[in-house]
Amino acid sequence: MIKFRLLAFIMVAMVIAFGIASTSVFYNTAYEQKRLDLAQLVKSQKNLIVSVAQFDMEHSQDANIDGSAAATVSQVLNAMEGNHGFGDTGEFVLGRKEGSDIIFLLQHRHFALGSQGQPASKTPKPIPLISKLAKPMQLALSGKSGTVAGFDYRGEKVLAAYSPIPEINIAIIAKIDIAEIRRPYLWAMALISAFGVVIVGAGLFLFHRISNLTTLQLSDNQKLLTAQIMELDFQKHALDEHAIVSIADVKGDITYVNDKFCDISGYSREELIGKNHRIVKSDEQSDEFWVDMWKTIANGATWHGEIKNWNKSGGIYWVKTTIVPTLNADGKPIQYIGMRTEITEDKKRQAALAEANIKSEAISKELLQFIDTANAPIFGIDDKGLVNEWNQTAEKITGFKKTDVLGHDLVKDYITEDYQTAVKEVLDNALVGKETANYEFPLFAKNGSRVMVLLNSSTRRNAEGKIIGVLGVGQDISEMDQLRTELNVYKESLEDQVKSRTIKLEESLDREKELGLLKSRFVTMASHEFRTPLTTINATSDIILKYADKMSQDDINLRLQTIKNEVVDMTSMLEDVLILGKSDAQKLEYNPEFLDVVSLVKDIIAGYQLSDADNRDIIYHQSSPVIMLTLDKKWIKNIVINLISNAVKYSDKDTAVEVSINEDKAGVSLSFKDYGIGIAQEDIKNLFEPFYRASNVGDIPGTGLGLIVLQKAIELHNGKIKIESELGKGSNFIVTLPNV
Amino acid sequence: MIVIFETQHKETIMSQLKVLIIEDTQGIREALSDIVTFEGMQAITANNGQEGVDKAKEHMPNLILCDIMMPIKDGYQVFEELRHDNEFKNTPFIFLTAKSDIDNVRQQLALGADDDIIAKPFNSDSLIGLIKEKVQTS
Repeated sequence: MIKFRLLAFIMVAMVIAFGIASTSVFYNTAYEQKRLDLAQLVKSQKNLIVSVAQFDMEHSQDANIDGSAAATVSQVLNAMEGNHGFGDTGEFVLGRKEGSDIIFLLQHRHFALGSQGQPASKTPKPIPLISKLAKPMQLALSGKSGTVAGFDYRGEKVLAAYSPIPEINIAIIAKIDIAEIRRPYLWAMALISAFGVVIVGAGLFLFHRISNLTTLQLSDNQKLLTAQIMELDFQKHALDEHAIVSIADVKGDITYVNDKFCDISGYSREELIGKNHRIVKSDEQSDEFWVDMWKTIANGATWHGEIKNWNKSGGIYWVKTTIVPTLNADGKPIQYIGMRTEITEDKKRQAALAEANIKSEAISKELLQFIDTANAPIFGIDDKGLVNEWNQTAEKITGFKKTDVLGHDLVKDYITEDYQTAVKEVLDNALVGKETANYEFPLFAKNGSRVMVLLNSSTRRNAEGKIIGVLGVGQDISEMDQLRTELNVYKESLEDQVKSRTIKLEESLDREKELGLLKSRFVTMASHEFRTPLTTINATSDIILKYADKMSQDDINLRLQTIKNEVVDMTSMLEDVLILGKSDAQKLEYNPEFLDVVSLVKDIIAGYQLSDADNRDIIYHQSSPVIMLTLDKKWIKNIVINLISNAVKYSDKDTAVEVSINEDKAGVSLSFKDYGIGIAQEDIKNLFEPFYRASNVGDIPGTGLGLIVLQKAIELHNGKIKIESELGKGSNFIVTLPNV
Repeated sequence: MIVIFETQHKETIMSQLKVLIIEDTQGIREALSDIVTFEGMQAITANNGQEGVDKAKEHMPNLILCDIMMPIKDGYQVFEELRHDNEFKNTPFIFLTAKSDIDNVRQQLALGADDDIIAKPFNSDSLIGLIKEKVQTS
């Protein structure tokens, strides 16, 4: 910058100097020209005045020289009156000596103009002859002529030409201000200088611009270069930090090693520099290996390789190496840079891995062999469901060869349609890692039959753990299936047995429970049923006692009979209740005899009819006149009386009652048929409940116990009772007694 | 005077009072009929609930003696039917039932102030007192 300023200053100075020099040359020329012009002017003016003076002298009537001179002066003055001179400051001056002063004759422009603030006067003031002022006039009045630069009457520096005009004793001066002469040149100089400065300025500016760019570029390059060097240093540092680096000359002698090289080799730098690289070479690599390497790098190419080295103490280390030759201009290597990273651990791992690979390959082979020869059907599918394993057992049980099925869709082609969805689900589940055990499904065999297979599906993964398929290990359970079916049947029958036993047990429990309930209900009902006749007895006896005086003997007898009837009813009811009580306790007497049922039944009915006021017609049917059977006479009487009295009670007296006694292989049936009121269906099922009476019995007396007692009697004989009845049409009670 | 007149009036009309006996058990029905008759009132008997309802409408009794457990229509149904009939709105009922059933029956019947229940077997004197009380208020 300083240089630049200096340069600018010098250039400006030169421009100004050139301006001054050239201007002063022009000025001097112009000055000289002006001087000559002034001299010419003075000369011509003097000549003119002299001519006038000579004329005046010759033609003056006045012989006085002074007179003619004065006339001349006067003429001159007249002629020159109003002459404002030349240029801006140029003028003629006429003067003469008067005593020791110089008198000026003409009115001067500067006074007329009132210049320098002086009041205008016609002529300048006289000036002493000897002074600094009016130098040209002094010279002229001293009789000299020529040109001079000096102060005029005003004290202004002027260029003047002077000449005396002795003829009329005056002197003439033509003068011009030096300033006027100088002015254009000063202007020119200023202009040139200014112009020069502008030119220089502009030039410098442009120069600066251009040079600045260049400089910038230059500095950028400088910076780049520095950065690159730094970068290189850094890279080298980074390389040194990372890699084991050495540099060797073309012979392989070491010229540089980094710290890492020293560390790993166990040698110090001093021990290595100058030694051949073979110092760390091991016996691992073959000669060909090294020849190949040398060929490569000697040809200027980069070489990569893995090298086993020996360190100083004989230990080994593996390095992954890159050797880069540095080439000269001819492309010949001048040195080799070796960069290495240690891969000893990698090598160890590789070795271990290789060993593991060999092992796993063996295992895998073994497994494949195992799968193929396993005594269970094994098949595999890939992730698309296509078969990729099919072992010998699978071939055997299905009849399909491995070559038949490989690549086929297992589900679509080998699973029966009804199982396709389910099996697909099992396999799809395995394909997302959800394994299934013991899933049973049928495969198609080649001969069209179905082979039941029990499947365990396992997810198959590759080394990365990605699911690649499903391995299905099966079990042919077709035979087992058969066995199982039989087993199921057996199981079901067992279950049925258990069920029926349970039902029976429950039934007996229920019955036990029911009996308990029955007993308590029986007590309730019995007390109720006994209360009714008691009420009648009580009220009727009260009536006899209370109103005996109002009653006839017949009235009293009638009511006593009522009481007696009620007592009889109660007694019979009591007997029935006692029977039931005994039967519940299994204490009923049973004395079977072998006898003729027909005559027995007829005798019993005849006995009954003695007490039957209506004396109803009884029609008998029998399969044979004599039917022999083992039975208890007393209980048969109970049965027959019960049924014949019911038949009579619940039917009109003009209808018949039919009694049938029939024998067949099973035994003897006794049927009592009437054409009476009948029993509603809903009542029939309740007829054997204690004290239950059909809804349509009306006033017909009864205890609701007869049939229950009868049932006990039939049970004693292992017999059965069946009721056929229709409401309003009659009933038929059929007792079947087995032929024991 | 008035009291005497009323007593006489009652005496004279006693024989016009009708008691309807609805009872399915013949012995009890006859005994009740005897009591009513010997007490000087008219006894009307019915063998079951339906007959009871019919006879009530026919005879317009002053009192109804009614059994609960009866065929065709039981005592509850008789009461229900007659109580909803304006003609019998104020006819007193005396129900007869086993002692153990009294509470149960009382719960099921919305008995009026003039109605009552008596247990079987009944004390004849109590029943006579109750009958007299009821017929007089009716």
